[in-house]
Amino acid sequence: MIQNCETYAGSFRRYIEGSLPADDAAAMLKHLQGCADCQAKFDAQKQVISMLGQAYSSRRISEEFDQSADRKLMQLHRKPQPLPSATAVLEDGEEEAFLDGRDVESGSWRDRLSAAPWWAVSVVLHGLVIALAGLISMAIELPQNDDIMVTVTELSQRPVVAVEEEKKRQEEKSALASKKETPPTDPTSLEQNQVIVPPELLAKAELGDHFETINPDRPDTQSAFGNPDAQMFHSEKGSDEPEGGGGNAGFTLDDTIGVGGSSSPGSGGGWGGGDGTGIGVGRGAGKGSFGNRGGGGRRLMVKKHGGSKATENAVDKALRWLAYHQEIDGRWDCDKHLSNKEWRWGGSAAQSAQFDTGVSGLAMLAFLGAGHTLKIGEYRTNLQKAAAWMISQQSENGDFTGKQQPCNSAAKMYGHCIATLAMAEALAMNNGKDWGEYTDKGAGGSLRQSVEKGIALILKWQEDNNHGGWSYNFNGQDMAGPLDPTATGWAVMALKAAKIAGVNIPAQSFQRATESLRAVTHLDKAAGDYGSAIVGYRGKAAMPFNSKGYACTAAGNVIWLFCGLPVTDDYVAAGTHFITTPDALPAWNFKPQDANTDHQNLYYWYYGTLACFQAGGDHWKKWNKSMIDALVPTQCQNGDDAGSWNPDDVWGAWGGRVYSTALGALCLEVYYRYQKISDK
Amino acid sequence: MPTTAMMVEQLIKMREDPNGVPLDQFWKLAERFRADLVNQAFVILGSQEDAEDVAQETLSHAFLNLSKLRDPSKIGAWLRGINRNLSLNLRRRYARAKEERLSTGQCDALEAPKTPTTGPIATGEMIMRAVDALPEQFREVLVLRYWEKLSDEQIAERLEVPIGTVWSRMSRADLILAEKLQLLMKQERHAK
Repeated sequence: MIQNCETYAGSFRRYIEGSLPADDAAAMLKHLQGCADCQAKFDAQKQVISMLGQAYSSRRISEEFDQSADRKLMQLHRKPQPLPSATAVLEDGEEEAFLDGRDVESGSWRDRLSAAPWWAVSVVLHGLVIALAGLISMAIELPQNDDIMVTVTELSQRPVVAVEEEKKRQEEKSALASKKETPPTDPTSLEQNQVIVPPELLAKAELGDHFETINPDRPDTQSAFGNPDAQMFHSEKGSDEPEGGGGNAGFTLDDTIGVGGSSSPGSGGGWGGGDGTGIGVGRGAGKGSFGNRGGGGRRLMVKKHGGSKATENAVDKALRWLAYHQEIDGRWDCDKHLSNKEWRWGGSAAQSAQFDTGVSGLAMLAFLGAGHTLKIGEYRTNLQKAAAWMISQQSENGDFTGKQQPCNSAAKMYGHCIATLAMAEALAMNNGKDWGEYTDKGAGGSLRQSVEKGIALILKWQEDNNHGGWSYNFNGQDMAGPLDPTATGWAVMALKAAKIAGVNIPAQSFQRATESLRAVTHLDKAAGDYGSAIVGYRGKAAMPFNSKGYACTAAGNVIWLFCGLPVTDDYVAAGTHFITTPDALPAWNFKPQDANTDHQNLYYWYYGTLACFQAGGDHWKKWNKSMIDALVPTQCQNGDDAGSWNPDDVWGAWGGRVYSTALGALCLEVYYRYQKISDK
Repeated sequence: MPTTAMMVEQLIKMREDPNGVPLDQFWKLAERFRADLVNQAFVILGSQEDAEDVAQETLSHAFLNLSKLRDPSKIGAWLRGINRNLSLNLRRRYARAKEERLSTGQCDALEAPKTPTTGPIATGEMIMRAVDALPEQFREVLVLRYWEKLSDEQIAERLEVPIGTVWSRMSRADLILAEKLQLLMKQERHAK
């Protein structure tokens, strides 16, 4: 049997890919043994195929490709622009050239193209001087005079609106562009030191160990474990892409919190944990405050910090409930999902109706906390609708509750701060890229503008307050009196998130909040091992419902931590100790007569969970166990309520089921929602 | 029917009367090119999201400007020309916007690291770039395999060539890539 080498050559690839029939394979292998030439080709091909497989493992044309293209075509068709952007690159008269088929690639161009570095073509074509490090550099900055030329062309060709859009688009892109130079997040780089992962976990992770689907009866589609977007968890080997691989390394700011990495789909399985978008995420841990919200980082963090499949499953279910109960206009309707039980702290449908903004913000936070963003994740459309609604509600002075009538001062304070926090997180998790699809709705304008305005109002409130904090004790228009930690908590978190998103926040704002909080805190260093720090409510005296001060102390701790104090700070350490005493731990055993305690108070648990998580150690172990035991078994499992928590806590009659469910989810997302400071 | 001829025929029809051609027919045609365009834009932009955006824009512009396509048999090259320009344009906008933001101090929090990436070029990136530089007949089989995840049979179907042709083009492509990559790696080592 004589077959020439050519015949076999065509079968190498099929053999390597495993699709060559056994008989042919045997013949081929036999031939290889006797033919060094073919063996060499075979080896080369094998290497290339493996590299191709890796390079493209996470690449696939999006399913929405044609749909999006259709939409773009329609837009262009309605608003014809003769190749606007391309025109700008070309010099006069060149448009024709590239539209008529006399293309760079025809004829001898092709040869040049394949022989020359890819950028050389642009050099030749445009006569631009490009200084380049070589083939390897992706980020080329063209000379500025050329840029000016582009601007001029665009300005003269396009109507004002289009220029505005263009500007926005540039702004959107700018953050991304700057991220593109993030250093590689490979295991050997220095940044690795900032992520502390137990070696045994790491070993498993590197082997491609992944969780099974949580609930075999119900394919898990939302969490890091099963998000279809995150399919490359299952890829066998990580790639060494400098970006992608689950997003870039998160940025770390000088103080407490960093920002997550790029939300561009990663190229699969790299080291970086990504920004929590659940796309292309590798098995490594992420960095930065939002660095672990999805994918590999998320799984590691869940394991590392004491979560489980059960907690993740509960988060999934809660998000699903929230998604199903979003109103068509994008908000969540607070008084639509009230419990009809009566609770001590009152609440009525009329009151709750004023809290739509607040609970909608909480719901947004729950999605964001699990790694869904405006662009990526199963619930992105929910977030888009919610963000658009928020923008539509904003009044000229930046108030997200601006269109809410009537709106009591608590609804305004909480609503606005929570909404600002949610919008700022959305912005940060969009890489600080603006999102302005709804610019014509509402006074807020684009996402970034609305965040900036919202933050400006929060800062103004602080300015106006002679104590330097926030409370909802509005005196007419202005805020008066000592700080209210429960309100200040949201305000400070919003400032922090906005700072991460690139909004300028004066440092003294955090400083004043810290001091103002100390003013309402009773610290007794001599009490017990840790001393005692009890944060009061608008003054050192605890309010009746706050008889023991747990909730305010938990909120106070979060404020301090977000303002940059370490967990070892006297106040913080004493506070942590205080809220992890047996009476203070979460338990779902609410009896109406206990209403004046913080026992069953999701609002408290939310803050307590964040505070204890940062504290770590035994305090966190205690808290985490109680929190899980309180939340996981009590989640509703049936009917329309499946996935929610009954609003049977102190404030349930105000916030209803949206409030309880969003906060329940946020508690259980703690493992990856923010970066643990000591992990840095 | 040979694809190219059919395509050209369709294109000529479309060119003459764009409104008379159902859109889906155009997208059907576009299916053959979109992976190539995405790959090309990806190499320039480094982000799949952006690359897809650009490719979609390219195809949209192409459809609306079909009358300007003088030689329908060169539609692939024509599309790539538009696509490359759109990609370069977008990349330039990134660079400019970043410059502006840095100069106005708007993005100190998100500021890129002081020193640019000096790490080794990612193999993945390099290989995609090498794929992009392949001659068309080799490039198209590979992008259909790797971006569209098509099997050999499906590729043969889409390109309307015998499956043996797909096999031989693929092996040829692999070997060209192997050579190219060897060269690139050598260059890179040299650059260091």
